[in-house]
Amino acid sequence: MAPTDEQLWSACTLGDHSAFGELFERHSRAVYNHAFRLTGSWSAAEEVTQATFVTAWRRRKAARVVDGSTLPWLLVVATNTARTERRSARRWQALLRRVPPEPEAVPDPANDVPARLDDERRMTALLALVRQLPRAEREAIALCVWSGVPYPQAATILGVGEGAVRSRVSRARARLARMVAESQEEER
Amino acid sequence: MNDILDPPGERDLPAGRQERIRARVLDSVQHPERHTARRLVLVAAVTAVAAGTVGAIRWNGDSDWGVSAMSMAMSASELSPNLRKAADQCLEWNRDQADSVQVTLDDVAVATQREYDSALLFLTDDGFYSCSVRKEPSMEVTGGSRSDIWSAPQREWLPGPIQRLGGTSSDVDGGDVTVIGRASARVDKLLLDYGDGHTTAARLQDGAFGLISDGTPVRPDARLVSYDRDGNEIDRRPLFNRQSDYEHCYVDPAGTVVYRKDRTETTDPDPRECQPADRWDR
Repeated sequence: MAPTDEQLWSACTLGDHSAFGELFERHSRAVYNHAFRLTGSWSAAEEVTQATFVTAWRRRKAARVVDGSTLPWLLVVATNTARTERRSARRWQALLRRVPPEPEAVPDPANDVPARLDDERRMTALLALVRQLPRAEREAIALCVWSGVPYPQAATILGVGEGAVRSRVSRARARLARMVAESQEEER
Repeated sequence: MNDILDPPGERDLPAGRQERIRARVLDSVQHPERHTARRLVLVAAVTAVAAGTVGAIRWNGDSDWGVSAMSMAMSASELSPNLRKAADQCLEWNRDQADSVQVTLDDVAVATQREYDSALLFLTDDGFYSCSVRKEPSMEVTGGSRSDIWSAPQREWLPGPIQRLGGTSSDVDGGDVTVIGRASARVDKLLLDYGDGHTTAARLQDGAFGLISDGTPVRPDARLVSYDRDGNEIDRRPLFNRQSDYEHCYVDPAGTVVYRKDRTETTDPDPRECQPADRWDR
């Protein structure tokens, strides 16, 4: 039987790198996609994913496993990382530059590139709207609506009541719907 | 929700990239001693751009500074206690960066603080040192710095009415921001236009400016707008410009290119395609 997140994280706190590698395998895709929805860029999402896991290791003793999963906490770390990505990009680049030089990545399959560019265009347009929301609301949307973290888990990890999270999402939805309606009205 | 609010579908990391990131992450966490050997870790001097250097810094100290919502100083004598701590941190990092312009507390031209983020600009006859410091409760101090030795024309001339030399932002390209830099004498008023018409005025003094957003989210299309003493708009430029260092190249009155549009360019552009540089005195 595969070890639980709780068991793996417990091993991480004792310095077990292979357990951390296992958690990376398990959650990196979700973190990567969450990071994309925060930045609107697949390449920035890679940087944020990388930085998120390095940060998670450094803060592993402060990690919180909610309902048996470390993912909500990792997504919050990713959110904070994406928020400060502009400031800290150089720092992460420097922290990671110790890795021996490696050959350039294999180019993406050509048929994937147009679709990813299209993703970025759509996400950039969406973020232009979402960034007009107060930070707490847009982060609640990203966490609960886009990344599917249940309200109770989000509340635990954010350290607020479940009602507050629901209310943030609800207010954000209402504001966004208004913005979309206004923008469609202007286009007509 | 309306379709427009639905994000694109999820994707895997590109082929090979997941393994590469995993390897980098594990290498970083397995060998922390490689980059924490010194209490003050100068993890960069990453990029040498023209005569300038860019650095990023991590410090493993853990003393809390407390928070004040926002404050600004235009000289060392105006520094609040928290800004003084930020200045001391910058000076400590500066001393360890041998290739940076060496500065003292008296060289503080602008200092801004917004919640946990501070940004400071030190100006000397030799060049500038800008530094950002972030100190959250119970978290390590982090920050970055940038320094450039003036080449002869660049001390006297600005790329237009203003030159942004540092700042902070809470989001990748927006949120809460602070901006610091140099301004020419013909700038009487400098406004941050948040991208929606809402504005905040910068403080201008002795050829420097400092600006702190007021809590309204700054949008990615925000602009810095300069006005002369007659109220005429004399410059408008993006706050976030990722395409190049400047919107244009700039020339002095003799037609010499003082600033290229992008410092990575290896040859001077045609001066006729450039904008006039603004004289700067301090």
